[in-house]
Amino acid sequence: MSETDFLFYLGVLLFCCGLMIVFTKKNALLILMGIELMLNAANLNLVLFNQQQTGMEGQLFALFVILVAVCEAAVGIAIILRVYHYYKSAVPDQVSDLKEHE
Amino acid sequence: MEQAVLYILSGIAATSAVAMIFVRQVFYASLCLLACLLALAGIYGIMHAGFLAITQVLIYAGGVLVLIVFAIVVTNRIEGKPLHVESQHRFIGFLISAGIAQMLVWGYHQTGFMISPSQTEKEIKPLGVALFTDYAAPFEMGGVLILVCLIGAALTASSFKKSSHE
Repeated sequence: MSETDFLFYLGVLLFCCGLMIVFTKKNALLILMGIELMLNAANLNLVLFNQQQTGMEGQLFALFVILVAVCEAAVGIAIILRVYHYYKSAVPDQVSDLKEHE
Repeated sequence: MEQAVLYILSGIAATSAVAMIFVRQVFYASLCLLACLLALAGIYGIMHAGFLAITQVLIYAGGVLVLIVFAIVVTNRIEGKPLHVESQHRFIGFLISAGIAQMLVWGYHQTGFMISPSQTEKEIKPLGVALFTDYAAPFEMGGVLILVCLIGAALTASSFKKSSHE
């Protein structure tokens, strides 16, 4: 198994771990962490496939992915904090009413 | 030597990513995520993506993780006890992620990439030049996006309507 194959399989493993966390965990913060893990797996692949090119496009894309991930994390955590204050709960399944409950 | 370090770092990243699935407390999960991100930064460094490695350490390990730990501390204070996280639909989740892994590996072998990691030096200088010439517009838009996100996050997190949660 070459080095490239190995790193590709590492990316697959990271992506699937993130996906499984997003599917199974009952906590909004952990779901956010799973999304971060998936974005990092994508970044790893971008850097890996940039290795055998002459340009820098892969690394630039990875930079922009990091940038968007940071924005997503900031806004997501702000929303999670709001939801915590209101519902006193972290489980996304329990946050189901749109109106204010009596 | 370089290869050995690469394999060790990959092992750390893979182990901590798998551990995140089985860990029960959110704080430990965030520590696992931190280990995974730092190991990935090391891998980037070995793969001649030095600027990306530094960005990863500064922004992810220094920014996002601190934000997550802060959120954990604040929500802990509300609940009054450490956050234990339950899992649900384990089997279905495993099936779906295993299926997607299968698909990814299959697609990778279908395309038949013949990649040999070329050892061309990818220095920081061409990255900076590209960022300010060909990719100047996305770069500036990214700056605006970060500004908008900061303002939006601050407004969302502050309790501007006192009566909403009383």
